[in-house]
Amino acid sequence: MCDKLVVLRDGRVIQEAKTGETNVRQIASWMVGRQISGVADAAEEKERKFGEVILRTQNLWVDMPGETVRDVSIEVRQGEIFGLGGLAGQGKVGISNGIMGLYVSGGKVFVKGKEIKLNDPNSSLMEGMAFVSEDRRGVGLLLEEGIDWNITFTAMQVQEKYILHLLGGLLKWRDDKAVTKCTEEYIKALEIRCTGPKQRAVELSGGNQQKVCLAKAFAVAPEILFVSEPTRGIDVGAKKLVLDTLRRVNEETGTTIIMTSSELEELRSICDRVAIINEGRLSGILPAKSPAEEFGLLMLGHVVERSPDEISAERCR
Amino acid sequence: MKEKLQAFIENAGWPRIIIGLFLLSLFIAAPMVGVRLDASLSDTLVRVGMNGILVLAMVPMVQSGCGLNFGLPLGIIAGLLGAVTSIQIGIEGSIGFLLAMVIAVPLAVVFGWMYGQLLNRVKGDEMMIATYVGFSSVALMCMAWLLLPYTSPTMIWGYGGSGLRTTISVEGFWFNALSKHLNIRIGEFFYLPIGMYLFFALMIFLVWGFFRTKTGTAVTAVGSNPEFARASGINVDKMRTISVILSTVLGAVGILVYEQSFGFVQLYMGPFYMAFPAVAAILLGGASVNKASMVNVVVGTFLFQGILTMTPSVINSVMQTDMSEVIRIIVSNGMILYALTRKVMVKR
Repeated sequence: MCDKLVVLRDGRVIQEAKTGETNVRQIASWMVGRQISGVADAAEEKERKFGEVILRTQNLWVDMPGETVRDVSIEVRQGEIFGLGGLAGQGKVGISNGIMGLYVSGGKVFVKGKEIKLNDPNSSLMEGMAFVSEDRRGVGLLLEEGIDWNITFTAMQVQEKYILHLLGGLLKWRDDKAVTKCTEEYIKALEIRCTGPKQRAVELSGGNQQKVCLAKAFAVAPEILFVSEPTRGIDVGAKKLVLDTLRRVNEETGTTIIMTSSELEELRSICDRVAIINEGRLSGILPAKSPAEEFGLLMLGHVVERSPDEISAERCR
Repeated sequence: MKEKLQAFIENAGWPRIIIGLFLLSLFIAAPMVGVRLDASLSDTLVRVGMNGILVLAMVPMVQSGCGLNFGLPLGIIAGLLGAVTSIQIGIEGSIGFLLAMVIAVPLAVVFGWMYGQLLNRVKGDEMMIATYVGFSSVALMCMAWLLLPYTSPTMIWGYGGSGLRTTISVEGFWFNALSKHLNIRIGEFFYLPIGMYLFFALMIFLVWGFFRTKTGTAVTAVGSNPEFARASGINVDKMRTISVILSTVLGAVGILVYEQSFGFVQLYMGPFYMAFPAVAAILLGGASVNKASMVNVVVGTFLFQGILTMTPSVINSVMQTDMSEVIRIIVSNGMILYALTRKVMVKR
């Protein structure tokens, strides 16, 4: 529609061009400021090794409005990047929310073979799981507080990091110096654009808010990291950075990542296996390299063909 | 210089600067109309010390997202029970004051716990419910004061021989129990009760310290975003209850400090309107409905009490009539009105 466009990044004009003389790919590369590589295909070439089954769900159901999960049994192995895909409102988002205890759920969830207590966020966190919520502004951030609190709060409360024990452990004093130090490290590592650790989260852009959410999860040093819609509503450059960070963390620390996303291409680019959820049930699990059409079929619920009788019989059980 | 000034204005906020300047102009005008400056300054400072802890009692509940503590009378009642029980036992001096506090605080914890349970059921409407908790507890105690079996002759009605009086003097018991320590007296009129100020400072320090602990941090996060706190494994209701208990206890301690300086225990309808000046003061100090700091408490109490002391005396002298009570009411309620409209602005 426009005749001419200007690309802005970090508050500077990067490029000005006539619309007719450019194409989407070129614009995207200006916006990112780095060459969009072939999404790290080369890195994926080497054989990835996984450990034991770290997370297992058995007939999990979650009562999350608009994202009801009815019956999901999956197994995820140590060190894997596991994708949860599917159309909107089919329940893929509900799974991570349910396991983290944010919505009423039932069934069984095992972490390293041990059954965990559901409906209790604290026990899920204590088991070494962390969650980056899809509802960034609602659940993910303390908008009115500084970046420092946002990043360190969960780790402080759950694991008593950044706490000084005074008077023989009687008084648990917040260690503001350690908080600031840790925040500065994450600001640097994740390239969070801000004026400093004290800047309020509400003042950040969507991409930088997302980075703060990731930093919050990393600060807990989780064994299993749930990431829900990490690239929703953020710009191209931040998207790449977020995905690269997840991949790096997975490689460096062996953190198992379970990522939920509506964007299939994104899941296929980063995950090892992708499960498709349809109508609150597992439709099927495919290796990420499978052709897109197969995923499409699963999304429509065509592969697992069960008669209504079978389903109702299962419900009775 | 100009930038520094701008930064200062931004930090302090226009309302506080305007009111501060108004207060300053009152202090300047005072000697011109024959009001003694040292006496009025001393008056203001004593009132700050008296009311400070009651204003401080707003902070925990504001920080935990329970809104302004309109239920302050509940804490005050705990304090009053402590006061009359201590007088009944009849111990004098600082020990008597301490005894009043020792009795009042556990009562305040119990009251606060119940109050907290109630507020956890009405999330979103805390302030309105709190107002009615305050009012109805005062009404209930109006009956209780008559029926409670206190027998000390200094406290009961002279003619009937039973039931507590509306106003009980603490003179002879613990009048000025805090204020008499370390006070500074310059000339005939200027008097500064350092003892009371030290106690106020101690309370501020304790509350400040609480919000720097792990639990205090959790309470603040609950106020900022309860969903975030829950996702971080925090028991939201528990944190809210803690803050309500803390507010109620501070209300109880606050009224005892107020009484030892004022010299009287006011029962029956006494606590009825005590919440409003405290609410107005903290809002005036720059607090919003869900964020308050120690600076807000000190600045707000000083400005509010300053205006409340100075306006009637100065205007009275100018107009040559005695209408100080009328002016006092207009000023204090006008202040609340102003402060509450400010609250709406902050909300947006």
